[in-house]
Parts: sequence; C-alpha cells; structure tokens
Amino acid sequence: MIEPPIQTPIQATKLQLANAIRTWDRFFFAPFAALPLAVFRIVFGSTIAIMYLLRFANWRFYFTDEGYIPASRAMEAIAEFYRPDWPIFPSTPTAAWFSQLALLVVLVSLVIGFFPRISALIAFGLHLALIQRNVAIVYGGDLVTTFFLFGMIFSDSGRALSVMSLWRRRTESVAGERADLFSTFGVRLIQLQLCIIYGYSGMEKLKGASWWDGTAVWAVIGNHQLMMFDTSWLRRFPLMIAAATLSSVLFEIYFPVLVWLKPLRKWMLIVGFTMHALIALTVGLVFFSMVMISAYLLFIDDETYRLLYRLIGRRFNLRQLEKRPGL
Amino acid sequence: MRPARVVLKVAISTFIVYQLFAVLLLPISGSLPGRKLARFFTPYANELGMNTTWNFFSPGPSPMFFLQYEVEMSDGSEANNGEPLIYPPPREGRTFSDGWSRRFYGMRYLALDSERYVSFLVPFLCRQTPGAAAIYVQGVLEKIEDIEKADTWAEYPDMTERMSLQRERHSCLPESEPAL
Repeated sequence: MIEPPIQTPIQATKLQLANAIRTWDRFFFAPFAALPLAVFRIVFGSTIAIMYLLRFANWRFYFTDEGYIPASRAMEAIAEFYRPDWPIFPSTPTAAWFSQLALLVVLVSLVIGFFPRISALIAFGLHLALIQRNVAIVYGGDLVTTFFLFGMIFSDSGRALSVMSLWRRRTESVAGERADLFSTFGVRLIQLQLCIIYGYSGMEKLKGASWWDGTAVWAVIGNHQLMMFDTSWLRRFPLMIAAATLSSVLFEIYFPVLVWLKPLRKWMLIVGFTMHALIALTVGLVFFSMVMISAYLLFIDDETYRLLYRLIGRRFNLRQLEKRPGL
Repeated sequence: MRPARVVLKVAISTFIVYQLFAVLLLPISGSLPGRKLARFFTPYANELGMNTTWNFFSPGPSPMFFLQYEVEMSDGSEANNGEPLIYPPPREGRTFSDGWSRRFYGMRYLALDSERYVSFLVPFLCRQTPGAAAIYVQGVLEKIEDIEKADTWAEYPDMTERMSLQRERHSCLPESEPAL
C-alpha cells in the first residue's frame, strides 16, 4: 500500500488556496453557454421594453413638473444616503421625452441583439437618469432592472439568436465560440444578485411577526387596494394561508444556496416561478415578477435549451434550426 | 496563461469582490459593519443606483393607505362642494394598471416621510385644484381583520378596520401671499 505523501501545514494551505483560486476562476471566467444568455437577453429585454413603453404613456406626469417632483428639486426627493454626487437626470420635458424614447430604442436593439453590450450600457445610463428624475415612482421591477442591466453590459449576449450572429452569417461558429473574459462574470453578477435579493427579502421578513405566525399572506390577500381579484374566500382555508406564508419565507431564505445544487435547482426554479406567477396574477406586480423570472433562464442548462430548440425546429418544420448543433 | 490575461483576471476579480461587498453590505447599512464600511461603497453604489434595500412585503405587508383631503379656495368656498377628495383615486375595477401602481407607490413614498410629504405631496395636491388656498389632508389606513377573527362570510368592508390619522391644514399659497 502506498502511503500518501505527508503534507506540511503550509503545503496543505497552498493546495487549498490553489483549489479556491481554480474554483473562483471556473465560476467567474469559464465560458458560459451562448443560448441561455441569449434567451435571457430576449425575455428580460422584452419585459422591460414593455414596462417602459407603458411608463412612456404617462411621461408628463412622471418626468415633468406636472407630477410629484419638479425637476429643480429632483435630487431633494432622494434621501441623502442614496443621493448620487453627479446627477445625470434630464431636467427639461424635452430631454425627458427623448430619454424615454432613446431608452425604448436601445432596449429594442438589446432584444434583437444589435450590439447588445453597447445597447445595455446606453440603456443602463438612460434608466439611471430617469430613475434620478423621479425616484418616487420607482418600484421593485425598476430596482432589479438596474442590477440586471449592469450585468448585461459585460455579458456577451449576442452570440446566439441575435441580429449580430445573423449578420455575420456564421451563426454556428459564433454560437460555439468562446466568450471573452468579461462575459461570464456579467452573468454571475446577475445570478448572484438574484440570490442576494431573495436572501435579504427572506431575512427581512423574519423581522415581522405576521411572517412568523403564518398570517402575512392574508394581509396581502385582504389588501383590496392592490389585489386584482377577490381572493378573500381563502380565509376559509387558514392552513393554506399559513403554508403559503411560511413557504414564501423558506423559499427566499434557502434559494441562494439550493439553486446552486444541481439536483434541487429544477425544483427551486419551479417553486419560484409558481410564486412569481401568483404574485403577478393576484397582486398585479407583473413586470417585477417577469424580471425576476427572466433571471431563472440563466440557471437552466444549455442542454435543455438545445432540446427545446430542436423540438421547436421540428414542430414548425424549421430545418435550419435543427441543423444548428452549435446552438 | 499569458501574463496580460492573468493581470486582467486579477483586475476583474478585484472589481467583483468590491461589487459583491457593495451589494451585500449596503442593504444592511444600519448594521455595525454597515456603519463602519458603507462610506467606502456609497459613492459608487449611489452613482450606479445600486444602493438599495430588499424588503418586499417586510417586515409585514403594508395596510391599505390613501389620502383624504378637502380644498379651501381663494374666495373662501370649498372645492367639490366640501366633499373630501381621495388620492390616489381608486382603480377602476380590479384591472392591472402600471400607471395607477406608480402613482400609488409614489404617493406612499412621499407621504411616509414628513419632509417629502410637505415639500412634494402637499404642493402636488394643491396643484390639482387651480385656485386652491389651503388643503386639509388626512391619511387613512385600512387594516384587514385578523384571519381568525374575520367572519367567514363577511364582505370586504366589514373585514377592514379604518384608522384616520391627524387632519392637517396646509397653505397652498406662497408664503408672501396670505389666504383670504
């Protein structure tokens, strides 16, 4: 029997350090599949494009002195702790209108994958500028969008299902080619941000008595100011309300860990999808839910997408799709 | 591996660590580590709109909230025949309305901070009625009855408890122009 070489504590530490660096390197810099990123780009981009198209319909109320906040005092509306040192908001109605329009144009550009990184960068800047102009009307969907757009600036999301890949007429090789150093870490920032949002949301809920005693969901259901349907009949099933309350907290707290474990990933995504679908349908937080769900697409295996891609190709008799093994 | 690539990876890794610290620390900026370290991250995060908390429906879902107000006109009369106005006006039916949601969240954001309330919301409400000299505003909270106490067959209004906050008078005129 061969004795394993004896390691000194220094050698063992060096080995552990090398392993940690390798893990970090793999996690943040190993190539990330083109298809999940492309699908995320399309779904997330379309969601926020529609969200901001609807916002555009009320632009005078949101971004001119007709609304809550006059341009001259836009920064005062932001609490000092959150206030940027160099504001970039549009200060005239014309500038606000053009910023909205430009945001929509670059979002469409992002969705179709036309210079997606540059589109994401411009969209990020315009998005921030409009948030600064009227911080009062910002809701969860806008906040999460900030972080996801930031990740998109780094991610090379145009390697598949994009105008760029069609334009170059080399979709197969483009889809299969390695992304640069920045791409994967952009994706990881989005994935980690999703985990941070859930983790903190879950832990913040633990501060509230109603989440502990299982009645918080009833307080939401009973809020007819927000609810889309009358679901007050659910009070006849109090244990169901308690189960929904406690499972929401458990899901949010454990998602950041369990989603990284392959055997449990699928179930975490299914539970999360169900939770957000219910929130969207009942409380009307449609865009917030869609933005959150869009990030789930980055956790789905490339293999699953390829299978779906081939099935769609077969279903609609699109031979071209089936022929592209690179996707 | 080429040295340039290693240097780039180290630079990106440093940025990743900084970014992760920022997004992990700032939501708990009131904690001890937050109080000690937040100043290293706030300028960066504020510029990029990343200084935020994540507390959806927490510590508990908010009760229903709206403003009830009456308007005193410059000629001494009362707008809307003295009937209180509601802001935001209730949604028409239970349809999805992004515009209503943003109005509602905006009202709540401004109303829950006394400084923002006086600086932004009161002048906004004054502007809704041209010729207004003063408004009397009252916040109204509606809390749903405890699930164990809620009558199984009761209708919504019978299941909510209404709490009216203090009614306050606010002048709509510039300070130099007193009301009649």
